[in-house]
Amino acid sequence: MIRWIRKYEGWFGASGAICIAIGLYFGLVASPPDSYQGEVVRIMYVHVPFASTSMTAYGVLTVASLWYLWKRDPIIDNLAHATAGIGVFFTSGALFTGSIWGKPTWNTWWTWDARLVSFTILLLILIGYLMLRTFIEDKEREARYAAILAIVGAVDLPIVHFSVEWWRTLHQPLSISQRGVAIAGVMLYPLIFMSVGFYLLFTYMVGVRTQMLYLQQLLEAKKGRLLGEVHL
Amino acid sequence: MKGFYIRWGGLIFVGLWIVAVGTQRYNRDVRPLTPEQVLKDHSDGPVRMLGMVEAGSLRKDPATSQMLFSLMENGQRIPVVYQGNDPDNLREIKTLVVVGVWDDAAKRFVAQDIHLIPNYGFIIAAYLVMIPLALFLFMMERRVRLLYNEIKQSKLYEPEVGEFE
Repeated sequence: MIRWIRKYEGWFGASGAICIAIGLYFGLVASPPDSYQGEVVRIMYVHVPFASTSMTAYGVLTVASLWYLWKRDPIIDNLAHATAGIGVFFTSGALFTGSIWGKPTWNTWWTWDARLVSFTILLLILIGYLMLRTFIEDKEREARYAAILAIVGAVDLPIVHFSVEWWRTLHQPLSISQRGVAIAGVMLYPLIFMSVGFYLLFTYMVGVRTQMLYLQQLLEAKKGRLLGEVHL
Repeated sequence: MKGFYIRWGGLIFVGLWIVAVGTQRYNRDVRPLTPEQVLKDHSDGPVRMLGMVEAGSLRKDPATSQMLFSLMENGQRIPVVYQGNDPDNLREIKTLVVVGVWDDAAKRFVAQDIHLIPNYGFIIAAYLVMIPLALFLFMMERRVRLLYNEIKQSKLYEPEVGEFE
């Protein structure tokens, strides 16, 4: 699997960078301002990709955790661990950009809105996942408990997604749903480029971090073997 | 490691290019002038002027359907006449950007379009969040390369054939 990551990660990184560059150009330069929000609408092109990628990151974490509990493959555990680390960055990014967008549009940095609260809980679950992994000495137990926590925490995913439908919230409802697409085409294209770019970037980052965790463990194991040999 | 630094140098170059294009567009299409600058410069072409619609000044001319109001900024007041699409955002004591030309004969600003305040500070702040993400990726990639080198140099580990090629 590590060999596969090393072989294809560059393609994900390069295509992600190209998509983001195109998305940035269209989002910041070519697309028009919104009639109600004005220029501030351009925050959407970075906020929405951050948010959707963080949801995807948690989805990947859940699947990887289930896969680990089934197969007990340490590399899958590395993948889950890497996804959580990257997920923290994307989830924090979504909250930061959302807060910055909220100030000029809602006149507040933060409000106790269902979408915002459920999203913050998602971030806390991810941070809790990473903290749990630092508390347990035994690697196998650490991986198992973390996988269980990730699977239990996945209950927050549908709450985050449907919070704007289930409750009366300040956050706008889903722009792309079964009801149709509520974004003008000229604004949709930069959003699609940025979102695809962020997904590819996320895949690339997970690949890099999975390798990093795998190599760290490999090096620790080798050094451990060396010490064992010395002491014997 | 050389290729790694060259790649990141290229990425920084592309990033700076996007910043330059964005700044150019901001200066050309977004950055507004104050009423004082408009009165001083007397530009022939259309300009963007930022100011607050003075309380009690907004009225509609029934004969021409034009909207008449005064735009204020730093104590300077400019009479503005606007005839265009239904201006949803045009309200008293609201800060707006009007796009148009200064009519020196009539001593008033003829607006063709009305926009909200650009608020570019918020936009820049939101996009700056991508910098820590890039730094995080840089640190991870660098660490991976260092780990590969460390493992490669370690005499304990014998890589599989073709693993590090």
